[in-house]
Amino acid sequence: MTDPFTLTLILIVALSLFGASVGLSMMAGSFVYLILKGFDPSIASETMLQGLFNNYTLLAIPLFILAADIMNIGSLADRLLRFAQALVGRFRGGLGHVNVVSSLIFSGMSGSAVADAVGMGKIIINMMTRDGKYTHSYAAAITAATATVGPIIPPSIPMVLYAIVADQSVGFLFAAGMLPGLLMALAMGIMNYVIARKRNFPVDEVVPVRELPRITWQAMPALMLPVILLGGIYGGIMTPTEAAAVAAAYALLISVVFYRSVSFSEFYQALLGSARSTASVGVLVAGAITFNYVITREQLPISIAEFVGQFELSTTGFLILINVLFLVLGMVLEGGAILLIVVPILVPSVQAMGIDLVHFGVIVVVNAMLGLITPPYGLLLFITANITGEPLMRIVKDIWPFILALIGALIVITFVPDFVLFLPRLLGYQG
Amino acid sequence: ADKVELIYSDTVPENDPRSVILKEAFGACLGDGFDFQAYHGATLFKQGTELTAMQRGNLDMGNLAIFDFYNQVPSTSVLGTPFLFRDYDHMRAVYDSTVLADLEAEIEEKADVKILAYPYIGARHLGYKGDKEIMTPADLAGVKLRMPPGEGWQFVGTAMGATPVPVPFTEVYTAMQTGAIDGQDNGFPATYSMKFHEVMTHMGTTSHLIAANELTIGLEKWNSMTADQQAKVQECADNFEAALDAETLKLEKDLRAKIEESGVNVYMPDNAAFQSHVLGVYKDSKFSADWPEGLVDAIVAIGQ
Amino acid sequence: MSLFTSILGCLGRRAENILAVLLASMFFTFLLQIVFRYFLNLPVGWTVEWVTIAWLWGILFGFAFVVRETDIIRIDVIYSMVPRGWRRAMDVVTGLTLAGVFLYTLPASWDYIDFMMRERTAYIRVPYFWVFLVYVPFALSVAVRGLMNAWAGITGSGPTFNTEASAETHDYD
Ligand code: NA
Ligand code: NA
Repeated sequence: MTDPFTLTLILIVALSLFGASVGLSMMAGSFVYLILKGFDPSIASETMLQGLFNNYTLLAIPLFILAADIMNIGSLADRLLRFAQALVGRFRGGLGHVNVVSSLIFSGMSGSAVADAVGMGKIIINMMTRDGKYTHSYAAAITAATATVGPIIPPSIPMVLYAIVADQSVGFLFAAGMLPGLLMALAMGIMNYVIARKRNFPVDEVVPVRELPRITWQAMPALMLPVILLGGIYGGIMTPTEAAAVAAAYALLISVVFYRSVSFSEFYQALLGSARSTASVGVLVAGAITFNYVITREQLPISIAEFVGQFELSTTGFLILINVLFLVLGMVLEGGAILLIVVPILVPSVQAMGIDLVHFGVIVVVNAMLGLITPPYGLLLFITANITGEPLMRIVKDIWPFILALIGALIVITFVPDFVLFLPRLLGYQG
Repeated sequence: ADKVELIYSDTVPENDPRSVILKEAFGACLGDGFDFQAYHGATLFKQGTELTAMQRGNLDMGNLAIFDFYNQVPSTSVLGTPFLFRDYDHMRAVYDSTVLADLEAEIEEKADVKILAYPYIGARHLGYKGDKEIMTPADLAGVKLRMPPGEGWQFVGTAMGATPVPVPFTEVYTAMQTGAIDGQDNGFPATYSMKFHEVMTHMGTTSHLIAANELTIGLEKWNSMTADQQAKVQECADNFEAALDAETLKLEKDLRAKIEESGVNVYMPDNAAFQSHVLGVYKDSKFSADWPEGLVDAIVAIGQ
Repeated sequence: MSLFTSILGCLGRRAENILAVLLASMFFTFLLQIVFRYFLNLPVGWTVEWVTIAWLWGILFGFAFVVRETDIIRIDVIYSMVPRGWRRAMDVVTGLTLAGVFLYTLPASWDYIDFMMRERTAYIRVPYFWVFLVYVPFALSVAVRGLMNAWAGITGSGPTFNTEASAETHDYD
């Protein structure tokens, strides 16, 4: 009980459950850890300040939030809604399917699940809940769940991290993520269909076919956004992080030039609202960064990896154990920490087991993404809770079926290596 | 007697051969009198923050890059000058000589840290996607060359004649693949481990920087040790330097072969043309203002 | 009292102005960066640095002066289930703990920020002291808010945030 690390964990859990800001709880816990260990408490503030200052990929967050806000005040989202309703509204759970498909489109633009959730999330949640068709919690849950596809479909920041620590080819890893990403989307689509039938989500009126061209034309500027971003990224004009700013600029331009619906005061409100969301998400990220120092210093992931190593397991047993380990770690840890600290320690045993390291990389990244939607520490849950203002508990209740669907996909990904390695081999991968 | 606790942090991945060499050649060498705790992959302290962490007593040791000293000891920038060293042997001869004694004293006085060793981490070359061999600085005009973020690094790119672009290390692969940048300037080992050769066509062996790290210890920690303990730490640091030198030279040779095998055209540019151009640019820049009087000449003399 | 609240309201709006300008500057700087690099082939570097400074300031300054209690990300599973008396006790515990920890560690944090006067950023060459200074108002605001929550818990004047109402009062719906 007198162990500083244990006391720190208890403090963080207690503060969080008593309703304090999760980010501040992690910071306070880190401060207390340093004090109990007799270290310099400023290490926590230093880690937080340097961590926020040095994390370039995080910068996409505020700009994707801004892009979504601008799309909401302009009529882009409305036009997309009408288009989507015309297309799939007649099917049960139609907008849920739109959510899955839009995440797939978006995942091809960004390498981060968080960017996907905040980028497309606000618009689609708005669309789903506007006429009371879906509950806020269901919209938040399916948005968080589908955002996990983001870093499985290339480009992918976590896969680049994995490629570095496991000494594998980024190109082959990207190719290996393609089919698993589609499988995950399929699994969630099926789950959405099942739930829509069970909960009897309302069906929209059938839009006559002759209306389709007009509705499509009106939504065209908005539909072009992914094309422009993909073209920009693969054409070498911008990085995925910069694409966030381009998305915001494009949304603003389209709204002003084509739809003439954005006043200066609306733009100011969009800026302020996005900045406010950024600050509340940012403090959570800052807390996670700070607490990572404690976890590193305690060498916690190393002890866990060594614990796993002591059992002498078959390949299947090992893979099951790895999945369970990563799922549990993902509940409390940030994905980057898992990739950078745990993976390097496991790589030798993975190789010794004869498991392909590209295949293993996909397993690890899918697990890390699942960690983003598993409570208590699930960044995507917090973000969609923040967007909808729903209590976390209700979103958690609605997300379980999707976690099950994703675990189903994970089982296929884990035990059918040929499925994962099909595309890389087509591209010349010898594994 | 009490064990001496040494907390070490660097930015090299945990499973990189360099981390293993550190553990064996330095950590194990220290023996029972020391408790050496190494944290890799910038997990304990972010890249570039190790120096202040050592100064504040929150970290004992690190393996720094020379530009990490620039803010507090501007004269150190001389060691980051491209084409200063002719080759590996020249670099090793300089660090083994006494020409840097004044600079090291200045570092100890101004930055409160002591450099124990200068392990060789490799030569930097020009790796790029293009249709011709870049032979001279003029050929680099308009080439978007990724250089590490930071003023000092960026100026290396400018001095060589390119348009330097700061891209985070982890984004270099995608940036080169998409054409956001034309090339980057890592050596054979980093190029291979980061898979850059997959998206490159050429590699010109400019060896523009013969790079060494600075294995550094906080002066307060150093002074708290007995003479015997200091001698042990120094002995193991030298041991680590020798082991890492050997490993880097071997890696460069092996990985050059692998990169060539993958279809990349590895060739030798007109390095004399680069050298005269680059040193000229540096001499006229603000960077040479901080250089200690006569040090460049002394270093060059060792090479002759 | 009304003068006091109107001054506070005015300061609050100026803080909002600053936060909005920070995000706008991130937005335009990113666009400028793309234009400079891709279309004009000019080297850039200060743009990335400015964006990261604006991001750091946006988070800490925004959290200190603009973010409302209802915007804060919390796990309200238990908090929203327990009776009012319990909530008051929880507010007192969390408020006093956060205020205590952030106030107690502020001198050490200040020492680090002050120490960073000697290190400069890579491009703009501004001492890190000025970049990191925003931590001080952030920590003070965490402490003040914690004490206010604790006081509200003690006097029973009601929580400064309400989990049930927040879904309805939220500005995104
Ligand atoms: Na992606
Ligand atoms: Na989680």
